[in-house]
Amino acid sequence: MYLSFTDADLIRLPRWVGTANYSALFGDGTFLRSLEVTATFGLSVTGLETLLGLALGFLMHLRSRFSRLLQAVVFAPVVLPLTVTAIAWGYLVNPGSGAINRLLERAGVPTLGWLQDPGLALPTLVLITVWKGVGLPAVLYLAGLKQIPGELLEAAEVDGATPSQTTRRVTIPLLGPTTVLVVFLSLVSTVQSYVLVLLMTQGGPLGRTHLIGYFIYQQAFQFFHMGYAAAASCVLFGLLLGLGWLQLRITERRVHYA
Amino acid sequence: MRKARPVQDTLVLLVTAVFAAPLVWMVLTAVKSQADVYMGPLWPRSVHLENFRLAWETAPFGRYFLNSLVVASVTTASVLLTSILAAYAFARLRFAGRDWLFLLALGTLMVPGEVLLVPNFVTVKRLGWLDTYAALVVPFAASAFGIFVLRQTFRKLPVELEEAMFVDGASPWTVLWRLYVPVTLTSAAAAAIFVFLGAWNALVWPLVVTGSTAMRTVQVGLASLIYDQGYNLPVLMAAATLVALPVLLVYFAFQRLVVEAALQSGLKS
Repeated sequence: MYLSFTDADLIRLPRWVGTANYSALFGDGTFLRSLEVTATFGLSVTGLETLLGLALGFLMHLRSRFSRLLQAVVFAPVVLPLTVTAIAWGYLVNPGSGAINRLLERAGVPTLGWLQDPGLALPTLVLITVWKGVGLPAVLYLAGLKQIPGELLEAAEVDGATPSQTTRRVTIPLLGPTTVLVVFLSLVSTVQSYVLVLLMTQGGPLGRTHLIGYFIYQQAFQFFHMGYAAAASCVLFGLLLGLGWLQLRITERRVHYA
Repeated sequence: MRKARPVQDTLVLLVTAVFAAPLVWMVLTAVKSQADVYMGPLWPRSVHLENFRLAWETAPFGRYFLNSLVVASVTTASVLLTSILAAYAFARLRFAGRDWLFLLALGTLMVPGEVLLVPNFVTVKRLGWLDTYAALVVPFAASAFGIFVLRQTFRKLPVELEEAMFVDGASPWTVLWRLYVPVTLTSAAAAAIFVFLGAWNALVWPLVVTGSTAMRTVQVGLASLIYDQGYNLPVLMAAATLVALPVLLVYFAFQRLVVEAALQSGLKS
């Protein structure tokens, strides 16, 4: 916190500069742009992870011989190092020799510059992030589904509800607390994430993947603007505190309903 | 074995295959010849296991693995020890300001790692720890999350058990190691695996605090291969496979524990 009010650059002694770092930040186009990119990225990943997590939770809950296998495989990327993720996917989405474009080529469909096209780079990163992260929401939903008492579902059936009605009116509302948890866990982790950007796109093309975490990393460890980076960290922290406060408010309301 | 349900089984297997594809593809590419990667069929025509040897030799991976192993093991041991001691103190000992201190420790959970990157770096630099094991381990040597999880588990034990041991003349130290630790072994093991994997996978912190080859961890070594433009794709895939292998082995061996620890870390908030 103290650092954010100084011009620390690791060479000279830090000097007190008051709120200069903060006023500079909010006039810095790259920073403002990174807030926008982070919001788009965070909301897309969270939306997809929640929906896909719910679907995968249901799928794991199905009584299939392969449910355990599905759970093991879907959760595996969660523990996988990001370097390995970046290498495996970097090759899959490679414009020339990557598997995805080669399959498209065979199908006679035009190939795409997954990480090179300014409009596609962020969606591609969202896809990779969801692949890596969705295992946690999925097992959280699975745990939630297992906790729903069977009598409740039977009661709905006795009352003449169709399976899809039961799912929409009984199961999904009962998963409400899980959904709140999943949404906030996912938001909090995506708002700070940037390692894939560091390894795969370095913020490009045209700054379209310049997340706030990457902004901080670049200011601190490429330009050595420690004070400036600390100020950006404080803004990020403020954002996260806001999210935490929001989650607390929503959780409290939920408890009153239950 | 459950009975076959064709529709469900097919659906589940299909989704499993989609999720596994990127990793399967990585391993398939790791054993291809370089010509096959660019021109050949998707399935390798011949198996080239020498890619793994080449990958091992492109960088001092032996040293990197050793560093990662040391850092992850020491971090895990230290987190366990500090968590056990602190959790017992917060759960059972009575001292002034206990609850207040516990709240303070919990408060550190609210501050995410990414926010601490810059201040921690400046601290470590001032201490003159850059490029040492201390820089890699000390900032992560204690964990509020570990303390919290173990404290909850410790508090579930009936206090009477402990009192009975005290009547028999045991010291708090004996009570902790003979009673609390053994009965909470599963949750401690889950936490330990989780901490170990986290330390093994860490990239950004080791990247910024280490400079010399001798101090680098596997993640930093692998990341520098990505930036290396003249790489040989099958060899890069082989290197990634080698780095992923220990993690996946630990994960598949202790899958239940890992998932349980992840669930706990999700539920804490």
